[in-house]
This record gives sequence, C-alpha cells and structure tokens, in this order.
Amino acid sequence: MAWQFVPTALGLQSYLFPTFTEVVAAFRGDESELISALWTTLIEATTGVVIGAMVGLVLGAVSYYIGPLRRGLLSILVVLNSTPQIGLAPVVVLFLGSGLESKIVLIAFVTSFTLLLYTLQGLDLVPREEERLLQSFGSAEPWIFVKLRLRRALPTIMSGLRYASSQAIILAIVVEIFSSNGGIGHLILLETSLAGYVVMWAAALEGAVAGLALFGLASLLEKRLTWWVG
Amino acid sequence: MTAVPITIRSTPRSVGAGAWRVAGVVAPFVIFFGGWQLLMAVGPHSLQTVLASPSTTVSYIAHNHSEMLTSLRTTAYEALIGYLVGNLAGFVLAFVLDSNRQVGHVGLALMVVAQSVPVIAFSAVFALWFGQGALPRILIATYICFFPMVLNVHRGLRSIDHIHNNLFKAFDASHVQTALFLRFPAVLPSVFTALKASAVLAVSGAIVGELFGAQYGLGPLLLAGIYYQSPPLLWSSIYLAAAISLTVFTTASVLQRRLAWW
Amino acid sequence: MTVARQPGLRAPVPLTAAHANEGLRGLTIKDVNKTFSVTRTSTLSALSGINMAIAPGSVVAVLGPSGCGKTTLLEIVCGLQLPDAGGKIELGGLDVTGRRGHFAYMPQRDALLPWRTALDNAVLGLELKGIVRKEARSQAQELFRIFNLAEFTHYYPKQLSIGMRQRVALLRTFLFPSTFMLLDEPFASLDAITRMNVHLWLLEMWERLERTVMLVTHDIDEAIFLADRVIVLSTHPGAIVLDIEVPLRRPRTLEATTTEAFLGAKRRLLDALGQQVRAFLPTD
Repeated sequence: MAWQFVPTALGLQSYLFPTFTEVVAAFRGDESELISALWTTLIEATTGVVIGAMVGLVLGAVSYYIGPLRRGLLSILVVLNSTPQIGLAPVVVLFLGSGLESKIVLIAFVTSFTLLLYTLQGLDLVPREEERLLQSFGSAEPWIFVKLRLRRALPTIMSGLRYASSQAIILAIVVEIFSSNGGIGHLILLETSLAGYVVMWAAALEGAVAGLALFGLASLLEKRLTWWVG
Repeated sequence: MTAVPITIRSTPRSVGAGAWRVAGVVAPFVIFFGGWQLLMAVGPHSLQTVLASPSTTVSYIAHNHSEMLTSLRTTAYEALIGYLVGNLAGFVLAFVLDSNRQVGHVGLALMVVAQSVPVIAFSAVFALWFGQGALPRILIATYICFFPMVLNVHRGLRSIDHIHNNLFKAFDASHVQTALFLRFPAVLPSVFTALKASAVLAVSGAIVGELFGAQYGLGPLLLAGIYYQSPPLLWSSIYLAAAISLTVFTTASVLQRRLAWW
Repeated sequence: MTVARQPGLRAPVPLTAAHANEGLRGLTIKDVNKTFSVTRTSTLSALSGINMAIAPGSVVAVLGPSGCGKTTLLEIVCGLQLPDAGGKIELGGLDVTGRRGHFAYMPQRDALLPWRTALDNAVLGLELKGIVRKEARSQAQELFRIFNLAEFTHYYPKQLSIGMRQRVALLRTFLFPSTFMLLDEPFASLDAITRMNVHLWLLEMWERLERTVMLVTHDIDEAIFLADRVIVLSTHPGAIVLDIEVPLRRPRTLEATTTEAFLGAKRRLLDALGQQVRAFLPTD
C-alpha cells in the first residue's frame, strides 16, 4: 500500500516509479502481452530445468561409477562455469533461432551440468558404514543405489535444483533479450525502446514473480521429498 | 617421557607436485580449445556461422585490440566494483544477522527470497533511474554478489562448533576478542567459497546491465555480434568476459591458499 | 587443609606472575540446584543440593554416569550457566557465581583452533587476558620445553595425533591465568593406552605447577588414579551419593593401580555406582 502513495508523495513521475494502480492498469491494458510473456518465460525455464535436471541426474549417477567419465565431465564443467554463461545466449540464438527451443536448449545444457555437480556431491556423502552394511547383506548394487545412495544424496540434489531454477529464469530472460520472440526479457527491451515504461515495470515485476515461483516450486518439491532430513 | 607419534605430517610441496597441480588445472582448457580448433578445421562448414575457431577469435581480438580493450575495461570496472562492494556488504550483513536470533531468522528468509528475484529483470528500470553510466551495472553486480556472501558467511558462523564458543565464553573473552580470534578466522573459508562463486556472476550482471543501452562494454559487443551475424566478434566478447571472471576467480583461489588454508 | 607434598618431589614452579600472585585457592559450592524445563509443564532436575568444599592444591574427581549433570555442574562453576536461585560458588572466599574468567576451563573435546599452531593455541588464554603474543609465546615456550614438547610447537592441530592435541589443550589450560582448573572428561576421547600416558603426563605437570584441579569423568580407574578425593554423583537428580578420600601415596605410579588400597577404593565406588545401575535393570 505504501507503494501506492509513496511515489506520488515523493513527486516521482510515473515513468520512473509507477504507482501500484498504474501497474495494475497496465496489466489490464496490455494484459495479453504481459500474460503471454510471463507464460512463455515460465514454460521455457521449467521445461529447460526439468530436462536439465533429468540429464544431470542420470549423468551424475552414471559417472559416479565411471571414473574417467566423471573426470571428463567435471573438466568441461570447470570450463563452462568459469565463463559467464549469458555470453552463450547470443550463440544459441544464432544457432537455433529465436524460438522456444534455443532457450530450452541453453537452459537444459547449463542446468544439467549444475545438477551433475550437485548429484555427484550428494552421492559422495553416503556414509561408509551404511554402504558396508548393505553390501554385507549381499544386496545388489542397483538396489543399494536406489535405496541408499539416492536417498542420502537427495537433500543435496534438491538444493541443486533450487539453484538451477534461479539459473533457469535468469538464462531465459537473457536469451529473450537477444531474440525477438516473446518472453519477459524481450518485452522489457521492447518497452524500453517504445518508452512504455509502466509496462516495462510490470514486466520486470513479472520477472520477479517468475523467479520466485520457480524457486517456490523447487522448495516445495524439496520439502515433499526430504522431510526426513533433520 | 615418550613422544607421541604424529599421525599426519604436512609435507613441503616439492616443485614437481606444484607443477602437476598447475598442469591439472590447465589441461581441461588445453584439451577443450584444442578440440574446438580441430572441430572447426575438419567439421561441416555450417559451423562457421555460429562458432569461430579459437585461432580466428584470438586474431580478431588482436586486430581490433584497442576497441576490445576499451570494452573490456568498461565491463571489468563495473563488474569489479560491484563485486567488491557486494561482497563486503554481504560480509558485514552476515555478522549483523548473526547477532540476534529473531533478526537472523527473518533476515535470512528475506535473503533467500531476494536472491531468487532475477535482478536482471530490473536492469531496464535501473537504467531508467540511473542513466547510462556505470552505476546501474555496478548496482546489478553488487546485488548479485551480495547474497552468496551473506548466506555463506552466515552458514559459516552458525557452524562454529559450540565447544569453541564455550571456550571463549569461559575465558571471559569480550565480543570483540571473540569476533577477531574466533569468528573471523572460522568463516574465512566460507568467505572464499562465496568470493569464488560470485566472480562469474558479477561479470554476467554487468554485461546484462549493458545490454540496455550502454555504449561501451562487452554487452554491446555481444549485441553487435548478433546484429552483424559475426561469430568472431561474438566469441571475442565471450572470451574477454571469461578472462575477467577467470582472473578474479584465480586471484581468489590463490588468496584462499595463503589465508584460509585450513 | 592443603595436600601434603610427599618429600622427594621436585619443587613446584610458578608459571607466570599471575599464577604466582594468585596462589592456590579453595572452592566452595553451596546449595547448588539446577532445573531445566523440558516441556511447558514438566521440569528436569539436573542437579540437586550440591554442597562441596575443595581444598586448595588438591585434585578432586567428580564421578558419575553420562547425563548425571556433571558437565552442568562444571559449567555452573565456571560461570557458563547459572545455578537456581540460592546457589553460590565461592573461589577463595570470593563470590564468583555466574562470573566468568576465574577458572581455567577445558571443554570435553580439545577445542583447538585449526588455524593456530600448537604454541599459539596454548597461549590463547593469555592473549585473551591481554598479554602480548610475543610475551605469551615465550612463557609457553618454556612450558613446552619442560615437558619435552618443544619440537611440536609449530605443528597445526590436524598434524597432531589425538593424544598430542589433548596435551596441547591441557597446556592451554595450565597457562590460563588461574590456579584453579576445571577439566570436563578430558580423556574421554583417548584410547586406553594413550590415556595411561597422558595421565602420567598430567600428574607430572600438576606436581611441577601448583594447581587445584576439579575433574569430571565417567571412568572409575581414572578418578582413583588421578585424584585425592572422589565424589560420586547420581542421575536424575544429580546429587552427591559418596565422597571418599583416595588412600594412595603420591607420586602415583602405574603399579598403584593393582594395590589393595586401589581396589578397596574401587570397590566402594563400584558399590555406589552399582546402585545407579541397578535402578535401570528390569526387576524380576
């Protein structure tokens, strides 16, 4: 509510800091544009993260057992993580065009490495005693993997998922800035050049909402799956 | 009286061991770029529209080095200032949050939420408020670097063994003494974790900020790369951006070895 | 009554000016009770009616099973916790209830700071009391030398075995400017053989440097071997059930652990503790 009155009280012009009602009005006015932008970004980010998470998880599980593969993947990870990944945004647009695919591909690519890292870290946390115990029972490795290793690794993997979802939203928005096909990033850029500042603000807020939403989803998932942790 | 055997002895690092370590770090990059160069040489021609071989990129940079240098300096300046300010502020706030339980609880929740707001969505807003100078980009970089530091240091402070806390209390150490002798050294490893993590983030933030109307910097170069469909230009900017983040990261790593080796 | 020193022992060495000035002091624990509230309605009585007087220069062991409030008692004495209303801790006649910094306290695990060398860890207490590091180091250096640990001064905790770490922690406790030491199960994490070595080492240090020691332990043999007096504490609530003098001469040797006097004391303690154990056994 302070939001409504402070800007006018401080005499800020509406293009600098629109009041709450103005932003709501913008939503009413450009509803379809704003809503579709939010939706697009969310779809891109979620799809990308889900794919990336699955790939990362599988890669992590597999390379846990295959040393050379693990080392190789981690080396690529080192190179990848030391570059600002947003630099890859224009590359992927050049390569795959402006559609949803380019964003999803980049997000999936980056998040798969994130999840790979967190999965490996999580799997490494298995307490030796529990491992030995199950092995002494004569249990087969796949069974041990599911029942023990995965369970123990889950908290770490979930926190990796949370981190990856923030990465996803950021990447989605950035790639949208470079492409001309919808999404929050593109909308912000467009409105800036059109001087449609209130809409720009609305879009920015949508960005915040999207980020929080995805983060919230990941946190929820984490709570559901790892309620047994301390 | 008998001397008790030492279980672990830290061996002085021989020159050989040090060389191996450096090789280990450099090797992935060598392989990566070597492979890339090879791919460009023998791969399908269509790759040329998207990728530029390392050699092409490097020569491009050399050819346009004055322009590249200006851009590099602009972005580096924005990223570094944001990096320093954000991390410093984060460090201080972590201690503040730790001083009081209620404040800490609320503050921490706030931090976690604020971190998942993609500040880059507000780059345009910042550009609007603060013009086209370095300030909006510095602000973005600061925002981004702030949270990893707060969360890491806070976690570090919370994980100080309560036995150490008790010891200092029993020895009647003042708050200042406890902070200086116990808490500061104890969180130093966490500090470096955050410093290393935010090295890349700061550069990303600065670049995204530049996308909204900057004249100089690596961001505009990226935009130009797409506009003129020039892979060498594009990749040059990426290389330079990576150079900044790598330098910061390496500096942090080296400092960590000297200052927070435990 | 000060513990009479057996003739033939080396004369004690006052370590620092602070120690020399302070001299040995006795401890009086009066009417100490401690209750914790477990839920909104129920409370747990950790300590009940503890009254004790410890003579200056003696070693007193407080013996009892885990969870009987021994650590709580120690924490109350050194000021980390407050006793229930009416309880008082007096050091040499001075009321120090709830006040900290009067005791050389050693917590359960070694609590060495990983970023400091053995020497710097040992001087922690002195530094916190305002003594310049250089000065503190030279004082500590002397102590390390006397007890043949000079070669380990520059090692970091992770390079030291657990027995060594415990010794360094004990040195830190000896160096702290107070002549009254509180040790909380200091040897619990050591294996039996290392423990024997460190016991002898501790006794030798105690005889060289004048200190009063209050030691908490769950090990009967350790209590008898080290102390002049053993006090047994019960569980739930923690109250004193037995208080005996240890009839062994000093200096203590390992042979003493197999003498009749030793076993006699052990029998009495087992009996007192046995009653605790029986309380847990199923009744037929």
